[in-house]
Amino acid sequence: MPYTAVATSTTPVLIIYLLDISGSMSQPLGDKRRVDIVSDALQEIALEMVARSTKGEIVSPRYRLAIYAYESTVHDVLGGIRTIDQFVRDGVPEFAPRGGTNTAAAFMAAENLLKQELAYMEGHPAPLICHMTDGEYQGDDPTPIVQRLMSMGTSDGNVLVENIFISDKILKAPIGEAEQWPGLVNEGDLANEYARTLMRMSSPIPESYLSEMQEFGYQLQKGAPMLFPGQSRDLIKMAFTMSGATPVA
Amino acid sequence: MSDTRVPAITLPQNQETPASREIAPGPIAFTYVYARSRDTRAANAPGQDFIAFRYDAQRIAFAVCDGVSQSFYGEIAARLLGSRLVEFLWTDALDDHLLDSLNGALHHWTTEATTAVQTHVINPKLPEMQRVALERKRENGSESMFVAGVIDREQHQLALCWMGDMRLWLWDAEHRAIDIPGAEWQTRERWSSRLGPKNGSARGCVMPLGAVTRITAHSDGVGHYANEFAELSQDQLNSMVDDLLQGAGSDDISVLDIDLAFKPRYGDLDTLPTPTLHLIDPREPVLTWEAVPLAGRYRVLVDDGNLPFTRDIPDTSGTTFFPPFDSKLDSQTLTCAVQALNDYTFPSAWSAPMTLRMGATVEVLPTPQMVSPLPSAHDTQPSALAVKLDQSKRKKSRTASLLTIVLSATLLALLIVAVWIVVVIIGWNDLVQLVPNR
Repeated sequence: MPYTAVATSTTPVLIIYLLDISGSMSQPLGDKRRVDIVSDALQEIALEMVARSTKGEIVSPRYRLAIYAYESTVHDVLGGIRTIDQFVRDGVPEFAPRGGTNTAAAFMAAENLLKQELAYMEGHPAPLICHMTDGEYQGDDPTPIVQRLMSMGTSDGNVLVENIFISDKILKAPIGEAEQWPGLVNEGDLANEYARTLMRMSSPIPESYLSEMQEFGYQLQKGAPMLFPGQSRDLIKMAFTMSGATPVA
Repeated sequence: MSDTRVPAITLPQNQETPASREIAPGPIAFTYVYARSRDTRAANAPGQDFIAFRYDAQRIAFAVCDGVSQSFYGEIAARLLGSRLVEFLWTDALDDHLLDSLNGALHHWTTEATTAVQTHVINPKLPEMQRVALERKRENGSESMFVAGVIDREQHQLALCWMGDMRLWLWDAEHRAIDIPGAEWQTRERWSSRLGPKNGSARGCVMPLGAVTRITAHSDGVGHYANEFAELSQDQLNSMVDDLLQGAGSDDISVLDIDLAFKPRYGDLDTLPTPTLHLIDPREPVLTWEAVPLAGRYRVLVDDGNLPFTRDIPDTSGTTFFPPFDSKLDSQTLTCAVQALNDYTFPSAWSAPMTLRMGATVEVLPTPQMVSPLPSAHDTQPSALAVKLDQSKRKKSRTASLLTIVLSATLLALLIVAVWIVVVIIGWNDLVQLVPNR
């Protein structure tokens, strides 16, 4: 059964974050800048990953992380892949919004990284790419790159692609409680063409991830894609929680 | 009625216990092993499994616990829960109310467990993100799964209880598994220091001992090796641990096997002599005892009045023990005792206990303040089995005397025959000639 491999210290899961830090990310969402809300959410999921990796006081390297912050160019924030126990020592980086939105370059960086890493990941859980953006791409269309990524993988399954779209114009109807939201099942619920493009660039949520999300108190339903509207802090937090929902030992 | 002075045996969480055997009157054999995961060993951290058992001629109580690693220091819940379960099962009646009583106790223990969680000091040298993550875990408490049980040997009854996805096995004399009534192993069910029973209630059953000749309890760290437990040996457990240590998902391993129909290989079982505990220098809290011939290890009991524990010390490590006084306390009282064991005979009785008060110096209290003298599991208290053993020993002594007499008589007879043969060979007349003339 796919997506059931468990993240352990010898078979860690690789999570690649692609974070849009274009100029528009300095705009407010509620009482905070969008980029700060993303930093907070990243901090939260990092804490969650640490908690899920910690037995007593030992942090087992169950997660491997790469963070690419992109605007017109792509920045390898961590300088390569860091294990969660290394990430714990270094902490969550800060981001300074500027420039455009070269989404294709970000996905290309992820593709190049996976081409190097996948050969050594047999038996590991399928990697996950968590892409966060607040606006349509500029430059090349990232769709073909994402399609190639979704055809790569390990024996556990193909690479999972998750998209977080920070915008209050993504849905036709607003979402109430994040914990009660069943997820996007119908493309017709989307109010925005780019949101529909992102939906087609999002993997379906695996069952094992749905179970993990239920443990966190979320009620996402089977068949929902890994596309999250970042309309509020709670929804952004939920989306980042999904990025860390690989089953662990 | 079981003797509450009989101590519980606990395996340490901060080191490995290689596969060991202990024999009790019956004879019954306890075989057990404890090994931490690879990562835990590398970090020199405590394992999150816990094993405890207690026995005398009437009753056997046991518990094996698996702390939830994603809870706050799962080893805290495992140890406290395991110790309290064995205490509870040692004295509670095996009847239809047992499960209700147990669920009540599981709630009651949250008070003590919450204190243990709240007062546990997180290493201040850890990175801040890790300390924040651990403090968040502390809010939810420490959790553990368990499998436990009690055997009433007089009533031939067995009670089992569990929460979680650990495993209990019952075997008959042909090594076939016997169904456990109501057996369901649910990963989400566990005991929480904050909530008591979590995601369900404790499950269990009370049943006649019937055809049950062996019970095996273990954590999920044994993986596929559980399929081989129908027939279990000490060597098998050690090689299992070695193999699992190399695997990708190396987890803590704990196995306790109770063989109620143990057959000794080498004839009748002896009992080791009892060591005597000494404190050589009152300025230094070091306990010693003289070596016991044939002892493979020594077991030291340490009772702080709250969570007593035992430590097994291999005979190769000598005959000394440093009682673990807590340096943060101004004054502390510990009662200690020692017994000798090996894998193939009955253990010795417990030594007379020694109660030490640690202050500026070590003070030996003139009489044991905290616990009465600790009998061994198989003497001092009148029990049918102990009397039977004693009678058997007297019978053996009479038999030995008779044998001596018979042997002596046989030798004498042989001597007489030998003399007669000599006479025949030499000839009577020659013999007479040797006698001087009157």
